[in-house]
Amino acid sequence: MRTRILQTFFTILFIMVVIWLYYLQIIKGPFYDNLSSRNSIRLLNIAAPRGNIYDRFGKLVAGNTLSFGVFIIPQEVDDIDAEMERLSGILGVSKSLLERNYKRNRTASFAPCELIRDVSKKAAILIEESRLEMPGVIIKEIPFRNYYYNASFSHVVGYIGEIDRLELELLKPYGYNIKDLIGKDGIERFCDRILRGKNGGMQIQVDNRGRQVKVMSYRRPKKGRDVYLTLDAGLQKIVYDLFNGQRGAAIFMDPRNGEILSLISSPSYDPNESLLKAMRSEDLPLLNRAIMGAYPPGSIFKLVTSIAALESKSVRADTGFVCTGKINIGKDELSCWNKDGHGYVDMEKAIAWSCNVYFCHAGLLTGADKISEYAILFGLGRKTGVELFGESNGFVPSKEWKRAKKKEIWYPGDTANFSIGQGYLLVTPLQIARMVSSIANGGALVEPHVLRRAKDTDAVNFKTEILKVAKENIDLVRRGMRRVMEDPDGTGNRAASGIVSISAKTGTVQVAPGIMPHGWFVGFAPSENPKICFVVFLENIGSGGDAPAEIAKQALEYWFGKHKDDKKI
Amino acid sequence: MIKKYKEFDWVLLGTSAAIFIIGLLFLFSATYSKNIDFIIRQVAWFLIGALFFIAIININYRKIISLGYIFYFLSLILLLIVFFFGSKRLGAQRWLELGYFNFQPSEFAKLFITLALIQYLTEQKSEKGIKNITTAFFIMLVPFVLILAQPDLGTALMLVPVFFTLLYIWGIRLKHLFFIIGGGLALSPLGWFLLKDYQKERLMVFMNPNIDPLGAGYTVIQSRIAIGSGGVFGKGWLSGTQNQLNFLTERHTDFIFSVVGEEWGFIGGIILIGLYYVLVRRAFEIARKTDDPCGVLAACGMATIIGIQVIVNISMTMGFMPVVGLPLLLVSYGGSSLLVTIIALGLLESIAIHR
Repeated sequence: MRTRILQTFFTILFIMVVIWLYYLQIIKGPFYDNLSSRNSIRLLNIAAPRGNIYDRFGKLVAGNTLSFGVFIIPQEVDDIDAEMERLSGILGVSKSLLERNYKRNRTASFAPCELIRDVSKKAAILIEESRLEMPGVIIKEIPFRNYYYNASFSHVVGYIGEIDRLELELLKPYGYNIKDLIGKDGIERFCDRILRGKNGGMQIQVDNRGRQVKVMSYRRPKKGRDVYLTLDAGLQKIVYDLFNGQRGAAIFMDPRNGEILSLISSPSYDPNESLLKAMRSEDLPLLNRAIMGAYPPGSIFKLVTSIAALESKSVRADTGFVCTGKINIGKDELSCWNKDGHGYVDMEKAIAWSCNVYFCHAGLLTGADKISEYAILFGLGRKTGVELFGESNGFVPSKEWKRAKKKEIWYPGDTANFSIGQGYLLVTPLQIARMVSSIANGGALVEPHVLRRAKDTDAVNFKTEILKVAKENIDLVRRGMRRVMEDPDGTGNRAASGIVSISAKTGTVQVAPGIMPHGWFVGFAPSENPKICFVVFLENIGSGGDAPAEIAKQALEYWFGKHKDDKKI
Repeated sequence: MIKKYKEFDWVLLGTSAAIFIIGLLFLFSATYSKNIDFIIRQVAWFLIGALFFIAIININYRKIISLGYIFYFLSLILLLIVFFFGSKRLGAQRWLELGYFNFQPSEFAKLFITLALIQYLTEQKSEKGIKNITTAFFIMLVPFVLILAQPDLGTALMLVPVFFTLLYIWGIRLKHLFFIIGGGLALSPLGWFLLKDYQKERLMVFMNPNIDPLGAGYTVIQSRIAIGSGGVFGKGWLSGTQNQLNFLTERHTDFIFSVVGEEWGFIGGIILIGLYYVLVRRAFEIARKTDDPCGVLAACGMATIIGIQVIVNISMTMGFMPVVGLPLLLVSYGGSSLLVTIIALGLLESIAIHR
């Protein structure tokens, strides 16, 4: 009897053990299975090479160059101290630096840990030869981003850097990870998802001490796709060099489709180097003046005033005013830059000579509202939508604005100032390039862009907006712009070129008494069937007809000299 | 002679052989990457055990049990030798080194003390009072303290259920039994002060393995992960990641069931537990077929030694009982344990044959 009870007791205990086993293996099985895989599986990321950036003719602008890096695989090392000592001797760097990098970069005992990069080929060979004495030390080629044109392209191409916390938070759903390199500005940033490719990885099985046992799976990294710019590297470099570090910006653009051939902001920074120096500079090299800088346009705005006056039928082609060197508007007196006066001027001459008095009369007849309307129509006061970051809106004033914001009424003097591009009006060089393009192409507002193809096949399509402006009015303004260069008294006459016929408009913006004015030189070439339009802007340089015109002329001569037989351009 | 072996329990032998073979498979899985010596030694011990087995089944079990006191004093002497001269391993002084083989007296003491208790209780068949119980208690207590001092908590604690089982089968009055159990439970908190620090730690870790995930709790956590991750069918023989990648510690000895659970899953676990259950059940059936009170006591004693060790060991690898350091019979690596188990099985066969 008691034997049977005891046997039953044991049966119950055995059943309990089976129930526990069932609980652990069947009910909690998936949970423990997951724990077990995490125990033994580690992921190792392999960065994908970034796509290249090419100019319109396929010249490499940004790409990856290989450099030699010294790595150490912790699990294979016998005596870390001795190896560090030896490496320090070969490389000629301090041992403490290597140790610091080791501590900072070490992730897992099987993962190569970077000690130092950019070592010379000689040192790399030396290390490679003494590998047997330094187990675990390896030389790896690491790709780094190389910007082949240094500073000249940086405001278009941008640069890359390690992803920051905010970016990571936003981009995590798109597969971005901590320590990823990401485009921080320019096309590097705009096309980051195209350029970055797909990182590869390895699943590695490790033992209880984290040493690699075997590679479970391997995914090859996929190189990012290449991007083609509309820019011409040759022109870009020449224009940048012509600026010679002076503060300003320049844009060369195809007026027929908005393809930007060159966009520079000077001074610039070299994205191959640390940006710290650039950040401290008083010349603000990180500021992209071509799209972020908002400046008064000065006399170049007279092109818009002309169109507004003609379109509103406030003046006709043959309407003339007498310039005596100054004009009285209410209590104010506004002087022409030519103190002696231009005499009797019609619109064509007024543009050629940049007569303030003519445009004050014309502007007062047209009215500020109409001028605002046409400024906005021609793309001022709003972003152009170029694929670059930080574009400024610029500013087009209006009567309502002054009443609402300044609590003042709009005086006729304001209209006069507005007509000649002074006062509250602010524009970016790129907005001006767009405005000039629509005069060059006969009245179509293009979308400026720097991306030509995002892949080898897909051309990027941009739409142009046809403006409701009479062709004869635009032709009249174009005749005026041609005379700027060809009339002996034209404000741009000194920069006339023997190679190509240029049409232009100069602008000289008074900043403050005693400070050199900003200079603008804008236009297009050739005068018939324009293929390129340009904006050259220099801060505190003096007259727009001097230095800015000279830069534009040399750049245009380079362009047309090089491409004179090129039908495609 | 032939007639005598008609009663031989082939099921008991077959089940034991099956468990031992499964044991060898997993001992191989747990150790082959390091050293094949474990398998060789285990087989060598098995062959020695086989000789003992053949000898024992040919001796009447009564003769063996009548030598109980002699074995008892022998084991006391051995335990004292270990106490003063034994070699230390894993923080415990449990082993005697005898040339190639190391020998663990506490394993033998477990069996010999049981035999001595059986002999004593068999002699006291007319009188079943407090006086006999007290004597039996002291027979157990002296070696219990010596084993606990080594320290070998698992083996020492094994003596407790054996002691109660024997008293129960012997025919103790239930009144007395409940009184002793009640008193024992009341005094058990005092036992805390007798435990070594590492034993206290193990008990604490059992309550919550996460208090020390890299130290004392590591073994249990990893063992639980191994068994749990085995699922229904297991990861396959020689393919357990927990086992093969060294996440499991003590996996060839006390924690070998984790390897079985990981590589053969729930199915394998059930098979092994089922085989042990058959073993225990056969032992009880032998007891029931026997009229001799001495044979009944001996068979139930062996059943308890086998059953309790298996249950405690498997529960401990699953983290449902504190880690007390008991091997899994016939499976865990260890000669002393294997030999003692084979002797116990031989004794059961002897009872079956000679009753």
